[in-house]
Amino acid sequence: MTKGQRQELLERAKQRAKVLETLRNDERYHHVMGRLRYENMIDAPGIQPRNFKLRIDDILWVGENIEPRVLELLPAILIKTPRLIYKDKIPKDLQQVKNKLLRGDTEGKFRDIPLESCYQWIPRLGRKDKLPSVRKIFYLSAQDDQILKSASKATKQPEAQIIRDALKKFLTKK
Amino acid sequence: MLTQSIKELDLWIQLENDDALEAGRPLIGKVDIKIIGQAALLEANLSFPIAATQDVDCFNRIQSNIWAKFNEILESKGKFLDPHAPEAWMPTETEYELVYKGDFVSLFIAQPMYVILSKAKMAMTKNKNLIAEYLANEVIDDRFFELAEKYQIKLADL
Repeated sequence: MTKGQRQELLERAKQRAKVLETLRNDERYHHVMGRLRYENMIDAPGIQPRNFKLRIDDILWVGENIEPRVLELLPAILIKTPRLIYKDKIPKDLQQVKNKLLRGDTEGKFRDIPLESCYQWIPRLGRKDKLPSVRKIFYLSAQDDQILKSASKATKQPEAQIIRDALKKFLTKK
Repeated sequence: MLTQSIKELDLWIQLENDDALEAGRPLIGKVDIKIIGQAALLEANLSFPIAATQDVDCFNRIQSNIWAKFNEILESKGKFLDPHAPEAWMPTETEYELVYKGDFVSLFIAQPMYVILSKAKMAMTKNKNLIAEYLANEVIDDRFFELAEKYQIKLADL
């Protein structure tokens, strides 16, 4: 890189920094970062913690224009701590990412953020070390179904719990 | 925050060693902790705003029981050690600043220039704003550009 190119790069960086300084005055930035700081999801010295609900559009705006780390957190927030955000319409790509992460699929990116980076926050937000439940559909014979129903009735537990308990027993026997 | 955590780790090792001495077990030796990534930038008190998620990147591999205890201490403060940090890329020239020296643990923080070079090489798109602010606000010397060239970092993409 020649001296002239370095100078040009530094000039460009200064212009970008000026734009960022202006963007940081936007209330959306303080709102989003303040709430994420309040939830201890992000460390941002100088940002006042705030306890308000967030708009998805505001989080996306902050993530795309100022601080991409919030994009890393957004899918996990939707999955684990949706109480933080208003029930806005979820953009199509975000919904697709949410569905992929729910299946444990981390291939691809969400607005330039690798899905692996997004996925790591799922067990960390909300109830710690808890991954979302996975929906499974399978067929039982009429006889197995009858056993399941009887077990459920006898133990006063939902059928899903009977299967969970059976799986745990299977693991301990192994 | 990191210094406080290291002080707690230092104290824990001291107590572990007291027990080990009584029980005739091997003692834990001295440990260096080298922090890179966003956590290192936060500690560096740069002249522009820095935000970081709660993961802490410890670059060097440390004994697993010390790692686990350090992670436990960090978790009590809402942070955690990123298990993938030792696989991160940093320039071989990276210099660290000693920020705390305890009886057993020394805390080193990677100097910001090297952290920025690492971010520019590995995740330019995600870190464009951060790199621009670093270049605009900090003193940039020839060394930065020399290393960028050496490691084929495409600063022109900024």
